Amino acid sequence: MIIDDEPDILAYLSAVLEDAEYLPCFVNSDMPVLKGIEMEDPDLLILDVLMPNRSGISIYREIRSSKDFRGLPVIMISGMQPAGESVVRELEEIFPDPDMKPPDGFLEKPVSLPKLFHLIGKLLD
Amino acid sequence: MVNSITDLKTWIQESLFDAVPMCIAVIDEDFNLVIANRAFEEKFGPWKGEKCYAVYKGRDTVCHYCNGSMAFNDGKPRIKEEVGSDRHGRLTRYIKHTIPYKDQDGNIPFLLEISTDITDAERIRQEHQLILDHIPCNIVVLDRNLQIVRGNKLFKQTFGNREGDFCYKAFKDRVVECEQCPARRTLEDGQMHHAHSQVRDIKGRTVELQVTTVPLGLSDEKLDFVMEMAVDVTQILKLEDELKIAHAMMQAMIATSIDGVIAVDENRRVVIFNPAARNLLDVPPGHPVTRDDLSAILPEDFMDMVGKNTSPVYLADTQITTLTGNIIPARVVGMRLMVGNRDMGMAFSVQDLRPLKNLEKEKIEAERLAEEEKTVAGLAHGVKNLIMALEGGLYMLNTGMKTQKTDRLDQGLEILIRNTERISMFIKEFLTFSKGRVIQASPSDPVEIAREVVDLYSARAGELGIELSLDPEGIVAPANLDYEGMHECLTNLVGNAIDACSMCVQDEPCHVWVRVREKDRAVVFEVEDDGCGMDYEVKQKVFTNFFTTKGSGGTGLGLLTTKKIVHEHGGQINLESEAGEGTVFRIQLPLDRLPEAVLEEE
Repeated sequence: MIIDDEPDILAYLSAVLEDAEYLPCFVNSDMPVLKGIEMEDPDLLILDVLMPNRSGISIYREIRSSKDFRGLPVIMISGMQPAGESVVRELEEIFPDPDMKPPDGFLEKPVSLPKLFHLIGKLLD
Repeated sequence: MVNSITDLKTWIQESLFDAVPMCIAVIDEDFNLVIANRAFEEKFGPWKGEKCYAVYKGRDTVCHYCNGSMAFNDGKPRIKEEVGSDRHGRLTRYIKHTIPYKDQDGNIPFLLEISTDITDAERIRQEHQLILDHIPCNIVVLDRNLQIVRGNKLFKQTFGNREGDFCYKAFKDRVVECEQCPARRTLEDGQMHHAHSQVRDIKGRTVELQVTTVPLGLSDEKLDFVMEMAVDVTQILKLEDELKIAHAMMQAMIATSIDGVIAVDENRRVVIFNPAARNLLDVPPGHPVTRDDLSAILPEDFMDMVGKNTSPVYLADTQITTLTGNIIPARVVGMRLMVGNRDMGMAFSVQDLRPLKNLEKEKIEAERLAEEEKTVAGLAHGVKNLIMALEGGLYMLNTGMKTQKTDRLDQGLEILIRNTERISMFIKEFLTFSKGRVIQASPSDPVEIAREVVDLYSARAGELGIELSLDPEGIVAPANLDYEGMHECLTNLVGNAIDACSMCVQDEPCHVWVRVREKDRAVVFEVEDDGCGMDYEVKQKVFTNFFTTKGSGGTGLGLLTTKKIVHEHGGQINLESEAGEGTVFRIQLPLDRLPEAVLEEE
């Protein structure tokens, strides 16, 4: 599953994943994310952190707090550099929490395709 | 001659008795008054057939310690000070000499009593003593040897009962006379003398005395006594010292004060003009500041205002003119100096506000730079999205060509075209944003600006079924604003509000309110919509990032530009929003942080 508010990026990642013989799926923006995940039942989630309408961080928190989906592998992608302050600070706010495990992967935009597939391969084994 | 003496003897025998001014009476063993002279009768009243104790003292019985009884017994003459009452019943003091009259057989049939009235003398003596004892002054009477004959009450309390001691021993514990002793000098020349003396009192405390010695003579030729009056000036000297210290401190503080300190006397003549004031007001060294100088320096009528007020007059932010004609922003405080009801002059404090104003400018500039940094970070994020989109387009073009998937080819091309356009638009806007128009403030009507923006959008709002209204609240005075800049801000906010309304699906029509007011000395613009509002996470990001809610259109720089313009006015912008309820953007422009008006060029 890919969650990103930029349609062109959604299209790009879909094409890339299809070519690698994965099945991309999405959530409609007016549907609550957990419901969408429940419906599509993805094996892995690619999640954009900074989105205008919904916060990637809060979506992540929701997922990790839910009983059914806390084990879902999540790769976070962001336009902020990892050293970018507010993202790190936000992540640090979650990570000290023992119940909240950090995302399984973190990639900076523009995403490097080899790195992406390496992570996906590792996580889906 | 013989006749004169004979006549005199006759007169003495016959008339002396009644001429003598002393009271003379004779009593017998039973205390009957037998003979008395005229003076006696005038003093004590009728006596014939009366008892002595009745006439002298108004008593019914013999006095307890009757000198007369004792004289009758032992035949010894006596003197005693008595208290009795005269013929009118008034208190009388007299000294009575009692002399037994012996007959040839050695018996004492009579006593001769001679009384001298000392009532007045006694009264004067008592008054004297009262004065001596109540004067706040140590008084001693010294004889020619400087021995203390008598001391008043205060002296006894302070130095003890030192009668008989030498004054130099009693006061200073010395064994010989002091060198410059004023008492000795008075004894020698009969004049008044003064001296200052440091002595120890009975408790061992050091006392500073201001001593005055006056001659006290009983005979014309020789001075028998001198009276020494010593005032305790210890407290006064202590206060003098404290006053000197306080004065020195005040002088030091005035001289070293960073602010200008100025004082004038009751005639408005300048009496204090400290170095800081001279410096600040371009006063040449050595130039005495005149009354007229000061009038020209201070704001007009300020001195008059201070003179009319009993409390300090503050001008928190005003202008003063230096002697060279420069105008400086300053904080001026003036106060009337009064002692009781007496006008003593005025004092002023002048604080140069230029450093403060510079600091404020620097602060506003620093805030602006910090905002820019945040903006740049946010913009980086947007740019990366665009770059990734371009990569995506290229990938699709590439793979589309390789796999002959025309759909993908088309899609890739479309993405490329769209995003290159976006990038170019973004760069244009970004350049405009970063260069920025330098704001130029001039007196503008805030309500007028809002009105123009509302008019601009009214057609579009109408088409979308959105109710757009302008609600000015109360009187809003013109303020120093950049007309175009604030116009752009409001255009951005109202545009956003209309978009928020149009994106939100609601049963009732959506409203956008534009309000203008003056509150807490600030111009306030508010743009409120009752669209869908924002949730917490979105609210956090609205200003700090390259942010747009418009999907793939727009660059999100509008809000950042708005924020930049608001900050350049020294103001702030914030938002309140509840998801599902609506959003309010509020711009607050404090009047005292607005930029100075730029004069129009020819």
